[in-house]
Amino acid sequence: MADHAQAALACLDRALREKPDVDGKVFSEAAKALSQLRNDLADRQRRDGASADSRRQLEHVNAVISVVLGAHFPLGNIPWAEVEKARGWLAELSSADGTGQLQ
Amino acid sequence: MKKLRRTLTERIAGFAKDWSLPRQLAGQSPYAEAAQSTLSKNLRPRLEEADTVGTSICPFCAVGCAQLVYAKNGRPLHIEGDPRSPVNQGTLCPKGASTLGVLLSPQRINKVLYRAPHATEWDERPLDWAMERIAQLTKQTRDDTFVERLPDGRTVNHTLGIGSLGGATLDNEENYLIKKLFGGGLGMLTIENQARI
Amino acid sequence: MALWDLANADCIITMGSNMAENHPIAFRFAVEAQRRGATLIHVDPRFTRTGALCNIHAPIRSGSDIAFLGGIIHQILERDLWFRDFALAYTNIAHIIEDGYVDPEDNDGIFSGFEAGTKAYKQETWQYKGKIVPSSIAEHRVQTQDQTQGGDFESMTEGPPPTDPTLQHPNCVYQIMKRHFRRYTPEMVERVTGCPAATFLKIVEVLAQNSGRERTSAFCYAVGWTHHTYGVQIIRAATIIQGLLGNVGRPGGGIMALRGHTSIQGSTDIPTLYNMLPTYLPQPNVFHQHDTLQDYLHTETPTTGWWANMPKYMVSLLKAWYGAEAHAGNEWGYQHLPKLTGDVSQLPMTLAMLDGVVKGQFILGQNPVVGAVNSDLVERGMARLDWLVVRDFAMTETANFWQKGRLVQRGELQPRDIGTEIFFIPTALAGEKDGTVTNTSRLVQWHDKVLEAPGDSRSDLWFIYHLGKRLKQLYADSTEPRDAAIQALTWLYPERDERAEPDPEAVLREINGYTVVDRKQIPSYQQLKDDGSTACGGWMYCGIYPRDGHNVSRSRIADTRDVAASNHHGWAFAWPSNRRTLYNRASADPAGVPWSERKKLVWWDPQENKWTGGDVPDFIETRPPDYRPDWSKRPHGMDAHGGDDPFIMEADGKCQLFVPSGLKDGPLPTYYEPPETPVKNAFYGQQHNPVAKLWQRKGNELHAPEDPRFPYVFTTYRLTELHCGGIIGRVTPHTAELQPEAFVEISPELAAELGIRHTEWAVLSTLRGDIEARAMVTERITPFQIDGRTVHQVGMPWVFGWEGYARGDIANVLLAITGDANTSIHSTKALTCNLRPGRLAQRGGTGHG
Repeated sequence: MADHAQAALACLDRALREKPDVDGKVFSEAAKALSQLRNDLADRQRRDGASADSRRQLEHVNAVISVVLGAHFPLGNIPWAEVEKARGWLAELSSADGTGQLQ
Repeated sequence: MKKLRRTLTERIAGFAKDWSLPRQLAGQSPYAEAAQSTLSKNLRPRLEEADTVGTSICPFCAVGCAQLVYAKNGRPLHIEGDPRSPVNQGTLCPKGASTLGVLLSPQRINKVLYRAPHATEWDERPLDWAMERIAQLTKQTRDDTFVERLPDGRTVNHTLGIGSLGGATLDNEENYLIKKLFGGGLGMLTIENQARI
Repeated sequence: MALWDLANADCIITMGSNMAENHPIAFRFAVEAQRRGATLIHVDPRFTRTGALCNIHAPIRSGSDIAFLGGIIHQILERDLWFRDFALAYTNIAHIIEDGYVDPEDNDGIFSGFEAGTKAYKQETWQYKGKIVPSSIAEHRVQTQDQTQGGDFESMTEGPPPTDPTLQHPNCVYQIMKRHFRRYTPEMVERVTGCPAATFLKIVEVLAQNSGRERTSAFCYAVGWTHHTYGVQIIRAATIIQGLLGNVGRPGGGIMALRGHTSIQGSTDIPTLYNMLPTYLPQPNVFHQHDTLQDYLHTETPTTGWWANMPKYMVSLLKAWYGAEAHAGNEWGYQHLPKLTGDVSQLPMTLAMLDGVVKGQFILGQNPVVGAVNSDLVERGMARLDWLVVRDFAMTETANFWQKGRLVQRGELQPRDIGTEIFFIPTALAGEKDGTVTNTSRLVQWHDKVLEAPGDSRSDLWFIYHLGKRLKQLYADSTEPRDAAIQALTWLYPERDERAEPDPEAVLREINGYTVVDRKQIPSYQQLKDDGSTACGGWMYCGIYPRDGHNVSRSRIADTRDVAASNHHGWAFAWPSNRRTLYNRASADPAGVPWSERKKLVWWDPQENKWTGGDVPDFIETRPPDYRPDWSKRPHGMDAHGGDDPFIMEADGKCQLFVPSGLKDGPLPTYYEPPETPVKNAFYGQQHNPVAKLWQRKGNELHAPEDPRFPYVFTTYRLTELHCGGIIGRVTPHTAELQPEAFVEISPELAAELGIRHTEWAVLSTLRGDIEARAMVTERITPFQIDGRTVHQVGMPWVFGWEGYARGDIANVLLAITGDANTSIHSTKALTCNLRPGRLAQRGGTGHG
């Protein structure tokens, strides 16, 4: 799980650095990693039972996916400011990794 | 002994009497009874056997040709263009004219088919079982993928984890409930149909 | 316009459509017009039965439509062929555009406002001087994120947009258009489209002679216009022509969209589409100012014109969906509506499936493996799903991809590798269920249930209703706020029989709308309110069920008079208000008098002081022609429109020749080559639409312009006997026998060059995939002379697959996923490919196959 989070984070960092104009393949890669992270979190929640934390993590990952999709297939300009925020949410989640939540 | 076969002369005479061409050559209208033979006189339209008729709209393109659907004992008997319609005035194109063939296609499937993950064959399943399974899967996927709020508090109430495709071949009432349930009820966004393509 | 109104046209140009073959019954009205003396014209790459029945056939290279239509506009302006009294009064031809506007003419093919970094346009410089003009189309607003937000629309209430009726101002629309279309000369038309200049000029003559006070002309189009990365702009070009020539809102005039499915119009109005709520209300977007209902309404509601009524429609929709749980204290349940973050239309959805974002998918009477571009990618996406529900009446390629798909056939995947859980649920067909469908000219017609669907086959209404019932049950005990929407959703529809089929009339009654307190049907949308006292599922359909027991869509009384005078108001229901011709106020001059006796439709009756005539007037019934807004009072809504402004949905009541807001790729149509083309753009340095959606990725690579490996223009189309990508025609013995297998149409010249013989095999290839088909060597296809060299075109029907009786390779394997800049519609009409004789290696052929 932590691997997927790190991979997605790296993609978002790259996207924010390079700001690709259309169809950044980087968003596709980010979406792949985030989807796997989401699936792992959902599976773990089903296996171990849901907690407030597990639900919050799952929702945050889904929220990051929503923003990444909106950047990958923008209506109008690419919402870079939103991508920046989403990166922050993901980073926050990954730092929670230190406490074992994403292990 | 009863004579079973007519003589050649009798047969020719009978044919000549019934044959419509001489009458038409003699000047009688080819559009009236002169053109009718005994055989054609005794033919009856199969529509007369129908016990039900209703109006339908052609299921193919968007021209909206009206059709008349004839049925007997709940089985489709005949489908033709509705002559009252200002759109098609009784006509149908080759596709519209095949509508009865669609209903009666030998390749029509009337059972629920189920393919389990990684299976190599289809299985038949009861409709009720399938509906419950689909409802459960829908709920599970929605719950796994739902976002009520973005982490900064903005409400989105959506899921991108479930999609729906199709609608242009369906009725307005069906499309309405699809959008209402999937969008208004479950928060699905990826609802699309052939109008996009 | 109504289909039968085509019979009133004096000239019909069919372009982007093979109408005689694909909409044969509608084409009867074109033939009827011809019988009365009209000239029929077909502009199309192929000589089809449509061309054969027309007076003039003009061949053009696929994708070059804007060069041809731009050429017509150029001729109209240069030779003063336009209907001056009409266009000066009813269009924005005299409006003055912002000083900062720069035309592609002066910028090598790009408009002002282009931001290279994001490949998107800002629209400030396209506005009427000093104004911010709201688009009349909600879809435009939803899709244009950086549009200046609501509130600024107040500028529209301060006074009319600045105009120069003398048309001398250098930045008035007339002068801008003259400059913009300057290089669309007959020579250029011939050079780019391949159509001889003499044929082109003949068409201009015929069109101009058959437009004006006494005569009207119509355009008919289908997906031959929409399936491009600039499809919206092709239609826009026709709009400009019709606005200039006065062929709008009048008998026999208009632009007829020939749509492809029985209720494709209905499913657009009452949309199973991601970006709209029923009848053209925008889906909220979290990145717009849509946080609260108040924000949303403030941002989205135009201040002037009919759309100022939007809050009534939105609140009434929320009341219909959330019933008692929608009240003033919770923004009428607005927060239950899911908010968008981006484009989740079909093509992005396909790509999102590949990335694993989509986990479950419903497919309801659609067959994307055959009907969607890049078939192999569609298969790959579906193989990644957790579950897939397919509803159809016979086996489809989409339901069966895991067993017989191309990936499995090629050995790339085995069924045991595919983890998707799949349900095939059989459906009822027409005749086995009742309800309404909406045809291509907004005619909503009821159809009866005559037969019982066999076995487990059920209507889609049954499926969605019972799925909803089960889900409401599953969520009944939840205390989570996220589940409040499904709990609040009104879902009480009477069940009729032992199968518990819900009653579609009950649904139609909800779509029509009712008063909340006594649940009385509402007769017209003018009575909808924004105070929660009315509920309405689709305001434009209001009036279809105006009172108990009166379902207007069932009405079956056709006029028996002469067709020319008939509008058949007693036959079914046309939205809105049973109106047959939109903007029909334009059929009278500014004073309210018909432009001519021959073309009269709606006019002002000074005795009765109201609008009257042969159609339901598309205007405030009692507003006199000489009414003028009192600008000192900052008028809003319809108060801001004069009695001579027919285009009531537009903010200023004028037909937009120049579009200041809403379009992503420019206010005027501009010629670009398709993304894949054998030639350079002869007009500008800018090769293709700079804001086209090109999603290049592995498996979806595009051919560069002039790529010598793919030298031929490739186009796809339908057949009379088989229906689109659906299985329906292919499992019906009669029609399958008439078109038993796939073929590729090749000109005799190209066939000779490549050594391909009629009825023998040929292989087509692109970077997306390879397929084979029998060669149909035919003079229907001719080579084009483009810019001094020969360009060959090949074409193939896209209606075949591996299921059913009529089979053949899937043409959509060859196509890439690309999107129109505005609509995200895919491109199927102008790509490039390679071609060789023989078969694919996997099927016993030789060569690279």
